[in-house]
Amino acid sequence: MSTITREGVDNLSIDRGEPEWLKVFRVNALEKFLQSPNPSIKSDTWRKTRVDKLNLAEIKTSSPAFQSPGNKTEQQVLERFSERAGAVFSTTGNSWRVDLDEKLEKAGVVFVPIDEAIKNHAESLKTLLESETRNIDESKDKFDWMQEALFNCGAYLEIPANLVIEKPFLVVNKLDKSEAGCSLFPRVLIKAGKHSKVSVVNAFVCDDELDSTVDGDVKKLSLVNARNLIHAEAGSSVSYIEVQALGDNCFMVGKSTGNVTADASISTLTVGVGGYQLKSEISTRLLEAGAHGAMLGVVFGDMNEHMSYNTIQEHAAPNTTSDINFRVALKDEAVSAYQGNIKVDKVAQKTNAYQTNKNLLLGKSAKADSIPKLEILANDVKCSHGATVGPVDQDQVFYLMVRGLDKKTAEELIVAGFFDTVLESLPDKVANDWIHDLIKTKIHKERA
Amino acid sequence: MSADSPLLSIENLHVEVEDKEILKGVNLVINVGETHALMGRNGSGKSTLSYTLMGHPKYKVTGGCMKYKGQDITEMPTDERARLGLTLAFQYPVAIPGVSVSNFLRASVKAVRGQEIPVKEFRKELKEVMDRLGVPKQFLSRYVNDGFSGGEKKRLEIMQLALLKPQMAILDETDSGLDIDALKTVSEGVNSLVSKDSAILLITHYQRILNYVKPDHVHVFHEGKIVLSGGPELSTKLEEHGYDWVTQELASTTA
Repeated sequence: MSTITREGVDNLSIDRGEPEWLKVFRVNALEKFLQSPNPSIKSDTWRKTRVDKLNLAEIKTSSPAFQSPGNKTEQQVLERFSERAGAVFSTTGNSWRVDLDEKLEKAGVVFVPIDEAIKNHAESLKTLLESETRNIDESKDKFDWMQEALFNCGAYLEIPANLVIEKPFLVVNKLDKSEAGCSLFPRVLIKAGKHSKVSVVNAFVCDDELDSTVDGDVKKLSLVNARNLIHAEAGSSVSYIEVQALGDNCFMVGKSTGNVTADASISTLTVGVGGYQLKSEISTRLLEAGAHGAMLGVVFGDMNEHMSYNTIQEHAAPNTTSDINFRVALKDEAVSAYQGNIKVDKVAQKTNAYQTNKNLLLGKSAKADSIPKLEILANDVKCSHGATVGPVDQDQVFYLMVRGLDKKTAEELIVAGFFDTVLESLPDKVANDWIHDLIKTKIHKERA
Repeated sequence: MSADSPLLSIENLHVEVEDKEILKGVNLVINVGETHALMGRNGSGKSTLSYTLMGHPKYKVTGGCMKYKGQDITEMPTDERARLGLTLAFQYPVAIPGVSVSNFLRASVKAVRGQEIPVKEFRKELKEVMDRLGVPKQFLSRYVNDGFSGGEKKRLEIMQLALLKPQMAILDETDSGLDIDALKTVSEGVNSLVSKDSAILLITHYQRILNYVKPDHVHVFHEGKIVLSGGPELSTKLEEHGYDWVTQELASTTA
């Protein structure tokens, strides 16, 4: 029985004591959700995914009792990022703030769980939510509406103008291990004030034990449906790292949108290292002159994992620049689909857009697809894109073996290097080390 | 291996690449303490020999065998050959983007020596080798051969040899593409590999490097086999008269 009903949404809103406008927002989304068809694997954005294997009726959307962070998975992440500006945790339906640097709080930084933001920062939040609704209503699908109707955890971060913060803000979303079929609907909203600088690490993790939850022969899937919105005001600089490290029965749908205004920049790094299906759309909208968007991707699949990434670099104003470097490596029978959209509006003259997608196939049965999509309406632009798909270069392997490395070690070194060409530009050493470790573990992982 | 058995012996070696026979019966014996120069025109099969000695999967041995320290290595995987002390300095070293020179060197020293070396010790060893070969420090943080000039690539090859200290080093056209100063440094690097316990096979088509590295034996390679062997004087004769007289002489003896 599906819990995605009008009654469920009403109760969600009432239980949380939400204001009327939000209830209306949710109910409107629910109606759209019910009207929307299930995404089809024949559609452009859902091709090569396993969305047909996900039975939404089996997903429980009710919130379990409050849990405090004491578990090893989140503790490990916390310990890694001991040098941080603050942390917010979410598990199924609940979020709480772990900490926030006192000096930053005094300086006016707001970093709170999303339900607290609904109570205390309603105006800002409402503006953000509604701006999003107005802008891209027509492109939303069933999962987007589902997220709007049901979001129940996440964080709100607001940085005052001119504040430069080097340490990262940490958001950890953990899928509860207690039962299969559970769900998480986190929403992260980031607002960087004029000329501020901020970095955020948004991590999706789950306990190892979840991996083995098998119901008969059919895996019972859990769902993460995440939404992230970044608003970078003039001259600000936002670094956003999203780590998707979920178990092999987790179906994740994620959408991340960055709005970049004059002379501001948003750099995103998406790391996909675990999930039954990871399906992300990352878009950067360059709204005013001087805006810059960089989107990096490091995706590593194995076994039967499916990884699907769509990037959108949308140039909506003149003199804007964007740069995409998305890299995918696949072991075993893993499958990936990358779609890179470059959109240049008629007014966006002097656009400079760059896109590269490289795919390394380590397993004989691994498959990677790469599709660039260009929609260029301006006539004075520089756009380039390139994609490669292929196995590890045997001459590279031979070279390393001539120096004594066995074949496996040689290939591992080459794969690590393949990702390092992306990760080298990452300024945050802690995040960088963590991502390296996640990749390394997966490289060394033998088939069970 | 018995004390008097050769370090490397190649017996009637036949090799095919993509169904085409390139090596047509190579015979060569190299003892410890010896430096051999293998000379010949481009396309005569010299590089095929070096790749085959290291076991590149594209090169198929269809006849004969290779023995190293008395052990048949014809079917042995490349990395095992390397760990036995055999290695190759490439004519065209491949770039490996994302893998830094220092990471790569540590991994290969660890593999060849069979154990991890303490970082401090490794750095010291590295510094000594780099100073000696005039390799700048920046090399270490660059990606292996990525964006390297021809000369830089050759220096890196020699630097690896100096670190790994192979007992049997094959140098494939290590002199090509080097200016005279680089040639001198690289040659010094090669000379430092010479010892009474090791041997070198130097593949070249110029006599130039032999002004700095003195071979004990010189062989002429022609159409997939060694057709003439002699002492150092042979290389001088080749430099003066080219390879034509060798082929002419061959034609007259086989006629």
